[in-house]
Amino acid sequence: MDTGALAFLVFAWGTIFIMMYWSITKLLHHEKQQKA
Amino acid sequence: MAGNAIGLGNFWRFPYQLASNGGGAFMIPYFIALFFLGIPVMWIEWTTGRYGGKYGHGTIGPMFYLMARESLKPKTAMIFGIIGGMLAFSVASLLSSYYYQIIGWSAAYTYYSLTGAYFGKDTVQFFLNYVADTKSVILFWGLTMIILGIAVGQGVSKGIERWVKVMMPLLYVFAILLVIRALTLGSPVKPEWSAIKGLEYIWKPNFEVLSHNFFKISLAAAGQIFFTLSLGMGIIHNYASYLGPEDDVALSGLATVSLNEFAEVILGGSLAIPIAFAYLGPEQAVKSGVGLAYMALPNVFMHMPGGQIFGAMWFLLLWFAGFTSAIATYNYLVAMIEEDIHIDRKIGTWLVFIFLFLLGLPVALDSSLVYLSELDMWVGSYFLVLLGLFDVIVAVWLFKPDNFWEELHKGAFIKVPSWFKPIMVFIAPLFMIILLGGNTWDYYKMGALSFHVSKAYVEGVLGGAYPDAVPIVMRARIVILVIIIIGAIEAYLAIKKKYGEELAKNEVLIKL
Repeated sequence: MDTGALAFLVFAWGTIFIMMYWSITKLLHHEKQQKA
Repeated sequence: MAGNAIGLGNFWRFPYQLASNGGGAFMIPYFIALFFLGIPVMWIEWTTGRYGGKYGHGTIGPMFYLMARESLKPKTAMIFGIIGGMLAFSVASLLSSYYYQIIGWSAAYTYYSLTGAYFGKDTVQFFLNYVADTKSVILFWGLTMIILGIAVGQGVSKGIERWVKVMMPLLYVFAILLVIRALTLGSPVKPEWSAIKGLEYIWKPNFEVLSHNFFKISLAAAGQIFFTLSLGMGIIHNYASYLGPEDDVALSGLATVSLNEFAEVILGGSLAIPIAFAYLGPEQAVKSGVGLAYMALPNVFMHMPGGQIFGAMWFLLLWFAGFTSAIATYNYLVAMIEEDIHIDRKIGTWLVFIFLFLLGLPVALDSSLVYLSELDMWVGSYFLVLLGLFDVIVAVWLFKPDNFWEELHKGAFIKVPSWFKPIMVFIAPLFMIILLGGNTWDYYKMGALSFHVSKAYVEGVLGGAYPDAVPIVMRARIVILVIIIIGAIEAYLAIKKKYGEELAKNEVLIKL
């Protein structure tokens, strides 16, 4: 696979993963706190 | 909300938009639009919906009116309410007329997978034969519409929510398994055709193609961001109107965006195009248009053990994903009838059914798919972005930026960085104005906006045959115009009904 394409893919996928992990865990944490 | 946002936009529309807009050329404006438009407009729509909900409104017309009157006299504010209500009604109606057809395709492919109807056949020809078989198209689309009618009529949203909790994780698991299979296909047909080449087509930045079709590709990318996140449709406003005044919208909006982007970019982007590159070749993959996902994926199922069951399961999950999103647009129209004309929900549901059936019939009867492509061009790309622009004008500019910022942070679990404020106030609307203006100019030059549309537009953009497709384009445009007029009248009546007195006096009387 072309190096430029691979770099773009890793950057995009990585950013989306981080954004998803951060927002979902934070949301679940706050909802748990609210319920408690 | 995520159940609504994750739908056919991820697995059907994204791959075909990506393929027909240059792959790597499309991804650059796509991410720019996600950051500068998708996230800000998502926050704006959640905030607007929650604000309108405080006054008991679930539709855009009165919501826009309420926010606009912070800066304008009621009579002038009403103009913005009418524009917003008109655009939301047009999008909900026209989008439903073709989106339900695609859900019907998934129902058909669930059946065809189970019976093995496409096994051992040319999947491109099989798809073309299917859309030409109007009896089958109407049968599966009609069945989908009847189930939708029953679901909305009975108000079974709670039951559907329970199903979403099971089906959505299952869709993710299935999609992840399919992605692994797709990326390990190798070169099953020709040595030069491979799934990795498909992935490379998506991720290799192609600035040359982008520079030659800058506005067309950029507006298509922005349109896809709006479509996939259900922005510019009134759906987010409607859902958020059910929230409490202190419920979080900032983090919830961001979580919705990230879940959807995972489904779209990582899963949706690694299926149809890589599979099509491996089995159909790059040329066919790029020109497949709206049928791409339905032409590509069956190739995997027919070559895997238990393919009939897996294929049926996959298309059933896709059908369900589309179904949960479709409920939102259907429900918007029923809520409108309930709220404005006081018609019983059950009767309203079947009135909307007849309306949407009549609106969808020309789509079902056109096997060339030109009618569908024309509607998708106007609604999917133009109207969504236009409503997004009015979202900013009304909820940020007219409601006043400081009021909006305060409203966004009421009960918020996160503090949105202050550098995001100028993005919402200036960059996002400017971005949309440039895109809409530039694209209109491009289409004007191409001859797409003239009475007798040009060959370049029909063949290059809609993928139809010239001049046979010209009357189909004309019919689609007449329908769009009629729907816009109905939408404007409806929004005017809805605002006047509740705020007639303050409109007559031209001063604000109702304030919480």
